[in-house]
Amino acid sequence: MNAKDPFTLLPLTSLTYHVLLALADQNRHGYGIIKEVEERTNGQMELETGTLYAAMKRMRDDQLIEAVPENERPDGEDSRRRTYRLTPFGKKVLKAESQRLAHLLSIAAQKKVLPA
Amino acid sequence: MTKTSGLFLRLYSLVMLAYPRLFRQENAQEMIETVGARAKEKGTCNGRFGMMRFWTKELSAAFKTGIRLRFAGTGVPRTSPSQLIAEARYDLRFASRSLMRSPVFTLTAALTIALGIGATTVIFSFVNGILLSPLPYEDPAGLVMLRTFNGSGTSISEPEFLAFRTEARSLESVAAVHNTSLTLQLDEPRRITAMEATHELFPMLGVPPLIGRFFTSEEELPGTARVTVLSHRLWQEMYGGEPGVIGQSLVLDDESFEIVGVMPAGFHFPTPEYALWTPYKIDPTNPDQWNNHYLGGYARLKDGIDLATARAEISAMGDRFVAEHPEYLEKLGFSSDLQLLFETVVGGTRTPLLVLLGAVGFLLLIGCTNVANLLLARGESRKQEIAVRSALGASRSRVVKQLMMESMLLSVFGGCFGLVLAPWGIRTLRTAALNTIPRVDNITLDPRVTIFAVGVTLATGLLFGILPAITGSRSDLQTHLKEGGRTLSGSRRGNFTRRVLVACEVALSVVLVIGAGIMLRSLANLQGTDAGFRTDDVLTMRISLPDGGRDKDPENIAFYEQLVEQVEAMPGATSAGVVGRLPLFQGIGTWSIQVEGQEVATIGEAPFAELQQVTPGYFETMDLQILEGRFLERADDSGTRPVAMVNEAFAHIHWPEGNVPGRRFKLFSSRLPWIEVVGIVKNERHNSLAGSVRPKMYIPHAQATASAYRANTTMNLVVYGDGVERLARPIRTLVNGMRGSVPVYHVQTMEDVKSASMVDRSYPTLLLTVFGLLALFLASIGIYGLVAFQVNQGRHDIGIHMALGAPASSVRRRILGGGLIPVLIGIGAGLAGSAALSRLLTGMLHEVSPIDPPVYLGVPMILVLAAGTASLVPALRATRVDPVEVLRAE
Repeated sequence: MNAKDPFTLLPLTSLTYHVLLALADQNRHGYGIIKEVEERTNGQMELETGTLYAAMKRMRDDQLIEAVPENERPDGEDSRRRTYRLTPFGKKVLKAESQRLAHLLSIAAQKKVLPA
Repeated sequence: MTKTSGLFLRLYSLVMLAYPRLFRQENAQEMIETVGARAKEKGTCNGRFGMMRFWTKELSAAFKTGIRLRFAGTGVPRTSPSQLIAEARYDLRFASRSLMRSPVFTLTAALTIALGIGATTVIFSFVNGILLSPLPYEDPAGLVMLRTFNGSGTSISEPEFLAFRTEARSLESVAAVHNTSLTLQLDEPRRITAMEATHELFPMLGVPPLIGRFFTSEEELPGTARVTVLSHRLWQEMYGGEPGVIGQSLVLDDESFEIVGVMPAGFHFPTPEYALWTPYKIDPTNPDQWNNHYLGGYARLKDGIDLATARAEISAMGDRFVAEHPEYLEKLGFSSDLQLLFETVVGGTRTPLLVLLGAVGFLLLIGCTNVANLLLARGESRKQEIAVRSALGASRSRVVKQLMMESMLLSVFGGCFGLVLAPWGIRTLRTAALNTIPRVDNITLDPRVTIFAVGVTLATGLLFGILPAITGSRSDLQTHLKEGGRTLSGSRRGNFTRRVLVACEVALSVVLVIGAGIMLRSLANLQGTDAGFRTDDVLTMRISLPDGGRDKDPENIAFYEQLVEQVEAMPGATSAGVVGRLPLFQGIGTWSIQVEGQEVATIGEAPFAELQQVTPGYFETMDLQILEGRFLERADDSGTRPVAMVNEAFAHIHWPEGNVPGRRFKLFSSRLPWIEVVGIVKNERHNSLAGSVRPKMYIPHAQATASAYRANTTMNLVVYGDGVERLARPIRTLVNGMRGSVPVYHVQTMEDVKSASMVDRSYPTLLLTVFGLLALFLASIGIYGLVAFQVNQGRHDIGIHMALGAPASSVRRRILGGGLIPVLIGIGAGLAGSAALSRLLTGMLHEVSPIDPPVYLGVPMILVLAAGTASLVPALRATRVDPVEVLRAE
């Protein structure tokens, strides 16, 4: 797998996309990711802990996300839980997938499947 | 966090083990904290049902992803759990269809397995109920039995009990008991087994009464109120479970007892036959003599004290008793000991039970071997089918899984059938065991036995299935896909495997049959032992007169004399008599004696002998052989000089030089008169046919008040005559007519008494024999199967041989020889195995060595004969092969 070319990873699974979205605006730990996804989807998507962490392992292997080093974490933050953030490559992949989905949505709007 | 959530979190930590180690090291802590935080959050708003859903999802997600990650980098195809389930469903359908297509094979295999699993389950239920289940008391591991070795038995005396009670530091509490039987006055008087006990007994056992209370320490003092605690069974029977029974009275041996308590259902001490308990009356300031041993002693170890420490203390106390009271105890060779209560209850059954479990395990193995052989043979005929499957892309492991599914399914059929039969087997064996098996009420098909049966079923399926599955999945595609792909004499490797299996099952059968043979020899020796008295055509029954004290002796003596006279006059009765302790049925106590001319100063130095009170007719009825002198006569009564007969052992010990009639002895007391010996009888075996004979004295019942303190009120009537069983009812009517309602019970023949006395040996022997015969039968089937298969596969070779002029006899010899070789090897291995294992039987044998030559020679001959017979039919069939047909097929 060529980690440098974001398009080789597309299409992303729904789970991967949601995790990347959750980290788009701020760094979060695992619990934070689960909560953000649940709130954002109005409870439609409840991630199981085991599933999330297995997916995050794959995403770290694919260099989409990384753990925030200790020395870069703000003071006062709970050091027992690791915080995660998007890597630059991860941001590119997120952007590429979002563009792909937007393109699909525009086609759906043209075909009057969705309101324009 | 709630308790439940805490439990689930612990479970989650366990499920985390599904993940690879490296992943766990990096993430486990964090994941557990995350899921804990979510659980806390969910718990405040989701309710119990929501929480269950939450934990179910979390746990199953963790398990699935863990497994997936585990196999991700291993090269093992990532089969999802749902794929595995789909595969298993397919295999199950395929296996069912395959088995249904061969109903004869399926039924034969399933029945063989059912037999093995059923028998194993039944025997394990005995092991479980007797050896593995704890006694039904609180903390049973701390309960012990106090024993003495006093030359006569293991009971303790009152002074010994009091000393243990007050001085033993390693014991938290000590109780004394006295087993007795009492007449319970109901519509008809009934003799019940009861126990007198000191007040410590029930608190020690830790089982509270269902209603009411236990005895108090005051109630065990002489002269205090008579109270009783009923067993649950007696309470139900007499009072229909009525709670208002406390405070009511019942009559035992003509005395009124107030009911103060009832024990719960399921409680019994020492055995279920004990119907009630009363206080044992003891005066600590004036106990009985040191040498009168008739009490049972039970105790509870103090917390933190181990058995060895307590044992050392009790032993030291015993030595002290002898040192302080040599006049009572020295001659007895006295010592004291304690043993775990559990051991005293079940110890004697451990070896026979484990031997039986081993034997039935062998039977199951033989059954597995047979089924494995059947599967191997079936596998030969399915080679083409397997080859096609392989050609279509099924991997070898896939084929093995499919074949194993068939084996497991067969095993499950057999196991289910075996489980259906097991309750019947358990009931039958329990009934047949009579009173020789302790804790028989505990023997049931409980959850542990069921789990065992399930485990055995699965293990059996694996055991007999794995070899045929591996062998059957081996496929030479080219050879088997060719049209009419036939091998010349079957697969060489398959043949060898099957011969090895047959040799194994023959070896196992030899061990079983030899074990059964030795036990049968032992039993035959026991049955052939001269009991010293007649057992056929003798009826016996026990009669208990109320004990009205010594003053009633003349009346009771007269009753028994008249009874015997009237019974002898009945048509069908040749002779009759009464005896105090029935041989082979009741134990018999010993009494210290003084022998004239050999007097000793103290009772501790005195010899002892068993004491029987008899009427003269006893000797003729039981056909005791007189060796010297005369029998007791009716004229030997309370008005004449005290006389007695003695047995050979008595005479030999005290008067080895002979000239016995006219010699004198007495029971050890200055008050009692000298007793003249008038005759010697041949030794009777009293306690068991296998046990040793002790010196015995026979005193006329009519003289017992003078010679032996009291005349027995409870006596056993024995009657000899043709068809004497018919007299049971008339005699009962006679007794009731003479004396009103007195209990007449234990009505049986002496043949029954003798058989029952051997049940502890005949019972395991019978079971071993059944197993041995079944093993022989199964092994014969296995041999038949092997030879028949070889004949079938070797038709071509046989045809060629016969076409070239070989006579039928040489073909038959070749076939028989081929079948015999694995049998001979199996016999050799079996003989070696038997020699090693039959030592285990030593404790169960009577007058036969564990390596008994006739058995070790006879069994191989039986096996060879069985093998020859099993091979004969296929051998005969082989000679009917038409060489022309065979060559034409070429």
